Amino acid sequence: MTGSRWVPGRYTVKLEGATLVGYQTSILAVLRDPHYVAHAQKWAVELHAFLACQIAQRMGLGDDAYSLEFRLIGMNSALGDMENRRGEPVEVGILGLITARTAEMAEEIGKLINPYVLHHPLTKDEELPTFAFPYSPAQSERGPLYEFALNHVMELDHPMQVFRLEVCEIGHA
Amino acid sequence: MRRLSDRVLKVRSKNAGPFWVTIDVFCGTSDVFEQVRLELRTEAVAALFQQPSQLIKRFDIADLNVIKFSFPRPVAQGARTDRDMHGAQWAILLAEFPLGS
Repeated sequence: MTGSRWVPGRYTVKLEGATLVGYQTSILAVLRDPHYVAHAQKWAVELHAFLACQIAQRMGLGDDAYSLEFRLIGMNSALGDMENRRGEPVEVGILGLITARTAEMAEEIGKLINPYVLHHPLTKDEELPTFAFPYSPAQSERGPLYEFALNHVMELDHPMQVFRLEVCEIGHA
Repeated sequence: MRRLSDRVLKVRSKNAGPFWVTIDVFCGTSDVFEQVRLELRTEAVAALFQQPSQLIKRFDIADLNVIKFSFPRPVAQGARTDRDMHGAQWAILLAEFPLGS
């Protein structure tokens, strides 16, 4: 690097912060039946709508109390709406991400949706399918979720204005 | 149809801090750099990543034969809807991008 130049200006400090937005539980299943692989997106959308009703009826939770998102691994889980390729996957992984106010609530939602993630049918008149759970129980706690909430530049009159030094001597050689 | 990755050495992407992603196209030679620089339109790259083109920062770095694009992540790293914590998959979309000729 050449040609750089020091331009004097106000003394600034970068300020970043994250905040707790909830607790997560995740659930993973795998679709291998070609009928379900071919209609995985439709299945996931319908399952989500069905589960929102179940969670509202049985736990009394509205949309604002939690979030549930399904990502289809093998289709578009990495890029979402940006994905522009369509393939014919052999199998599709379904990753459910539950975020709620407490870990207990997220885990309870995970337990409630577990049998439906394993058995939800595409149509009412077909035999209940059974998908693959790679482990049991299929839901697992992920702990707290933090999101960035602060991204600022602080202008200071002098470098130590908002900092303090604490010196602690822990012994001498 | 030739893809960008058929023409260049490497396309890679990563987070540039939690709010931005940056994508590097390593062209290898000045000839390839000049061709790709002209063919790879900023508007097309913006459309590929579903971003308004005024948000795309573009750097054509002739000394390194590198073209670099930076733009804000759709969601901050680690947000609950983030699908790729380190932002490495954006490069694949660009690597697969079809170039004319």
